[in-house]
Amino acid sequence: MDKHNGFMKALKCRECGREYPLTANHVCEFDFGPLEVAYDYDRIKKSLTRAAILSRPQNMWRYHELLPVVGEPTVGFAVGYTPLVKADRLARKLGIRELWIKNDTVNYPTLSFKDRVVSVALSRARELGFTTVACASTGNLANSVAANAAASGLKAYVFIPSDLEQGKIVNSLVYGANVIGIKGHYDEVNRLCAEIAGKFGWAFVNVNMRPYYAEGSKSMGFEIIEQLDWRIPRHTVVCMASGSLLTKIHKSYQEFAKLGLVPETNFKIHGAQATGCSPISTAQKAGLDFFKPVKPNTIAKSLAIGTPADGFYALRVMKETGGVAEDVTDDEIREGIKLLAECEGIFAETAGGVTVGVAKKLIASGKIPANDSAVLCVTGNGLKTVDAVAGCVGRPREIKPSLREFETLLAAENLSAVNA
Amino acid sequence: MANRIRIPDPLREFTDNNEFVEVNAPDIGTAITNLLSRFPDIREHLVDDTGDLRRFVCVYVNKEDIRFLQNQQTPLKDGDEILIVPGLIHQSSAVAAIAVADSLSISRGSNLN
Repeated sequence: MDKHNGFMKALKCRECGREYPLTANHVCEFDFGPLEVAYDYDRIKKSLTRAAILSRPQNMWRYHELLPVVGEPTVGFAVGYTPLVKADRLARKLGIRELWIKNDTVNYPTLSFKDRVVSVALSRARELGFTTVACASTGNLANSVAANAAASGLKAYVFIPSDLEQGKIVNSLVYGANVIGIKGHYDEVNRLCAEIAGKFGWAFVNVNMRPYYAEGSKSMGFEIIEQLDWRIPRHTVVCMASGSLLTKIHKSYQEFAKLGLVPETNFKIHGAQATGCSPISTAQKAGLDFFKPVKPNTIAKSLAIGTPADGFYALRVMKETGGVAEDVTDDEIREGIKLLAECEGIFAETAGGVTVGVAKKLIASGKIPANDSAVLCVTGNGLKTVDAVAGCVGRPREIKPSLREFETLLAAENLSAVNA
Repeated sequence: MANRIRIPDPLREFTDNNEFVEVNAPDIGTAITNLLSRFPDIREHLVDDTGDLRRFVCVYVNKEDIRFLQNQQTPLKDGDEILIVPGLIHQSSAVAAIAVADSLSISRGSNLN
């Protein structure tokens, strides 16, 4: 293994292919395209076998050759390898033969898929000599940067829209991070962070560290394949904020096939958005390869990015794989959250409601055929966004501590059930 | 008719460090052609081999993205301001995009190794 670069070769422009050193850099200075990590797949093939993977601890680092750090990871050892749940009850409800939930609501330590990208970004930031890390976030990323920075002794600044859910704000503050609330949309937070990243020389995980950070999402796809007993799912439904996760799930499937770890089979990747912030799904449905920026207005705040950085590439992945995009209203999001909770005992945040709601629509319309199999990527925990569903899950019925009162209550309910 | 094109910071080395370049053109396509002929070194950064604008180069007329107008056929009136905005920037407003674009070169210079 190259002691300086590990299994990485360079940062490479996704547009023109120009290569750059493996520093904290995210934009090609020739044509302004995004930079991506390029790997030495020939060497990876010799090291990353099924046997090697199976011999390693059950976390995302069991695929470390395909993750952009040189040495041993120093942040987030226990992240990943979340359950892939066979969702038979939800499958019956949605009318599909086989359904799986990739359950990142229980990812460690901050209950969302963002722990995957952050453990990569922070491990790499340390390798590059940074001591302060930062992010622009819709909430989950802020939580993860704050927690993982605390656990590894890094100083953290997290920038969030000031109107975020209280749960997500507390979940960043508690770790002692510097939390800055910006009076504006995420896109305005992002703009400010681009300026701050330039001026202060910090490792902004989703700005100058973005090429490394984004690669962490691939671990979700690797795990899906391994947990499906080494096959690529026919259909995968992924929620889209920047669109990055969708493109990296695609890349993970391609990489495992390229390395011979799994047979090359046809698969479709579908994108899910909230109607109140649907620049990518609107473009996909109109057959465009570019999107129109929007001002977000949705309860799915973790997906509320009106100017998605990877929107173009997400559209291209859907086109190439034959996938489609769909979006759901706030009511459909709440219904999706309830469906997943009532059928599978999984309480997802609003983004999970988006994914389930969109899957329901795609199955109903036949875009995901009823006799097929699908994986839904559920990316964050519902305990962070309880306000979003608090008004639609009913209230506890209150009685005095008396058996008679309880029996009366039960009898009244049975009666109303019979009459209903 | 006179219009001016605002050049973002990372590209000003190709326009003699001018932030604004004056052009006389009836439409966006002609305005860009004029810019490229006056400052040929900027060409490869803005357009590909077929002459199309590069994917991560956005052009705005009076802060409206030309892809939502008539692309290169978008007509120009006297005094319309043209903005060229490179990078991963599809910002919700052209003003926001410019701020990010101008920060790109600084951002690149901040690497620790």
